[in-house]
Amino acid sequence: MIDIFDEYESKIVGFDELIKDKENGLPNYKTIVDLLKQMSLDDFKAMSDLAKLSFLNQGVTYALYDKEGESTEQIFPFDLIPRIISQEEWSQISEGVIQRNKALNMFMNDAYNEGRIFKEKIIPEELIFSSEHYCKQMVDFTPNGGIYNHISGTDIIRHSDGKYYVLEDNVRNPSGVSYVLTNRIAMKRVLSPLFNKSIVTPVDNYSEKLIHALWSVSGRELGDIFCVLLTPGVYNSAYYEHTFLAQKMGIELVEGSDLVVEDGFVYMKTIGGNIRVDVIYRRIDDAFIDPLAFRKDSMLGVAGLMECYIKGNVTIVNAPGTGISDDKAVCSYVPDMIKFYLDEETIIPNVPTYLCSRPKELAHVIENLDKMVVKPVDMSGGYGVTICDALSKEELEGVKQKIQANPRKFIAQPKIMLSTHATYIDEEEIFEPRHIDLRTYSIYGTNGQFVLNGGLTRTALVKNNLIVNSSQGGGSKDTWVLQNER
Amino acid sequence: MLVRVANNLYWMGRYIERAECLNRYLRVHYFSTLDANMYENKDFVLRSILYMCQTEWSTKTNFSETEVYKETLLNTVNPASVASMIFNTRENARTIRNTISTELWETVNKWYFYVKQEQEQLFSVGKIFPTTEQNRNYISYIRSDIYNTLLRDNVWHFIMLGMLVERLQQVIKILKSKISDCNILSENGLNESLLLFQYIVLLRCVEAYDLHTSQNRGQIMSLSSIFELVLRNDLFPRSLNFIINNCQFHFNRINGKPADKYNIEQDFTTMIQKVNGFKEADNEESIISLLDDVDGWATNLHNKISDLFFQ
Repeated sequence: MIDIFDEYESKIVGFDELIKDKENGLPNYKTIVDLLKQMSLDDFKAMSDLAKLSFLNQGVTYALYDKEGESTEQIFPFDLIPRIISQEEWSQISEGVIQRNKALNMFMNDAYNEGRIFKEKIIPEELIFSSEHYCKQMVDFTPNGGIYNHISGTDIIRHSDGKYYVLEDNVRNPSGVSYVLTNRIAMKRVLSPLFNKSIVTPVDNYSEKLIHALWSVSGRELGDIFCVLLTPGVYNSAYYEHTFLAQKMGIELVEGSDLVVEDGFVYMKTIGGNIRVDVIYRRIDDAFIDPLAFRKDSMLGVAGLMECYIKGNVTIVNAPGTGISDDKAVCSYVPDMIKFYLDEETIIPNVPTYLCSRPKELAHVIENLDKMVVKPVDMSGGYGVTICDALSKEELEGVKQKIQANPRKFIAQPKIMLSTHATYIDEEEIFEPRHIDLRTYSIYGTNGQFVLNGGLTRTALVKNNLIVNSSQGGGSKDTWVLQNER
Repeated sequence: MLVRVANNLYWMGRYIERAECLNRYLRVHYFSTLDANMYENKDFVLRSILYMCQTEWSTKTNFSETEVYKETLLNTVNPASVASMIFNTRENARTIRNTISTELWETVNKWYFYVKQEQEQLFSVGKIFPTTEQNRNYISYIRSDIYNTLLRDNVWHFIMLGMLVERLQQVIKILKSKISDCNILSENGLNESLLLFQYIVLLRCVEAYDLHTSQNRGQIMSLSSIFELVLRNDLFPRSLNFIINNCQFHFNRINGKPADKYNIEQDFTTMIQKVNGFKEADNEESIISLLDDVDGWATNLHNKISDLFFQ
């Protein structure tokens, strides 16, 4: 019999999802707590192993590369205890995400066209023009349907005060949605009794919503639209996801060499001749999508693609140049964008962010460096993040010099204690609190916005670690949004 | 269908067939050396295996039974090993996993992880049977998934075409290899029982021993009876006649193919007539000459298919 609360509470620092629910009378977690009480630890371990084997057999893996460039296939660690969000909380998160996406889309259209937000001095234009992801080819151009950020991943955390905050927006190529769907499949396979007792909102409508959004921005009549998913290839760490999404949407998974540009249009090379492509859901960074427009050494893209795009002959999803919104320095202005474009108050606030490019804020960061988390503005996956309270004096000095040498490249945030959640720790065979975050996935087409129920709860598997990214050894959980009534 | 996808499907088919063929060859030969008839000729059998695998080891002088089987079954540094074929099957399947069925992909993937696990364990000759048996099981599951979970569309036709072209070349290789073995043993004083044993090994290498027995009840096994079956019998799935006929079937049914600039269709008809018209199944020289012709034709067929569809 497993008592998940056994010795659990004494290990908690800050806000814990499970304990908070317990204090409220377990409205969300009662089913799982009760089910565990009927199980032995051996039963639980057997189910956990079954879930892992299921991921391995399905090939739900990602590649990790060592210093020599050798790759090993890894299962994204999966924890069987689901993270549960009530319908009320989810409604707030979902509305907040939709609001951000709308404002960010308007911002990108404005930034590449009129520049009203710069003229009104809401955001300094040099911040955008100096962004590594600023794409000059997008100036004076509006994509089909007027949408830039068709797919967004918004990273949200819950702080010690119990409130949700946005950590960052991912509007280039957010990955991980396939894990949401496969986590749910694994949960249903091994813990089906839970689903009989809880009313959990489904997640398997994502691919349907995505293909509808792709069709909506094609600029062509329904029935004639040809969409493809462009992957860097089998060696990309997210290759599993690319194949998964292409299969679920029923579209071709193509590599750059499968496409060719002729007379201003993009074609797919088939055994029976070329077929015109209308929408490219690319999972390749801007820099690599077209060697004629961006990096000349790219072997992954399609020569001449940008020219077809600017002519309106093909739609690229997400639009090139969306990285300006991905910039962590720009993220701090999202509440200002919401006010400026929508005249609304921000539903989910940002984690307080200091821009090192601003002299006053830089001074504050340097003065309080040991309490800060410093992040490069243009990196993702948890790379380059420095949690300063864990550093020695010499190391702190090193960080300080790095920031001062290139302040535009860094932002700093006060150390936010991500909430914790009960997680099964294999090595110790116990349930312990581990820090978690939430990445939501949303889709934006001319047919409206859609936010996938729940999203991906990422969990740091190392005790007290605040970095939850898979590239840093993090795992994931199924995320349940409870439906009030069946 | 994407050119690249067609290419991957075709090669996936080829590697599955190649893996199966080599796996069976190793298994049959390993068991053949356990019998007194061939025990004295163990080194000879090991050489025959190395020849079949076309490994660099063919020129080595000293090797143990364990080394040869490990090299040919599990060593992925050796591109001709069964493990390499499995890895290549999986690489091709992985690239097109959205095109094939989930069931087929998962079986291929499980096979790959099985072999990886085997590679990490200590190898001994005692492992030859369970490893080849497990490979055989996985191949059966894969064939079942191919037959039962795919539409009979281009995906199916390209996989089948790859399998059949590979089967044609592998069968020819086995036949030539066994004829050569018989000749070498003959030079070394091959007796009648050893010759018969080699015939049985040959038939087992193409899974035709039982079929041959049932087809030729009351007759003495001979070069002629064997080659009637493996060359001309259009009901036997590993006969040249059957394979070429089926290659033609799948080629013809590929949807939306470009113009047949190489006249492949006519090539099939000509080759089927040639094999059907072969009447010298008791003449070793004529058999070898036919096998060389079909082998060259199969290589050409592969080149033409590659050029027509995959360029």
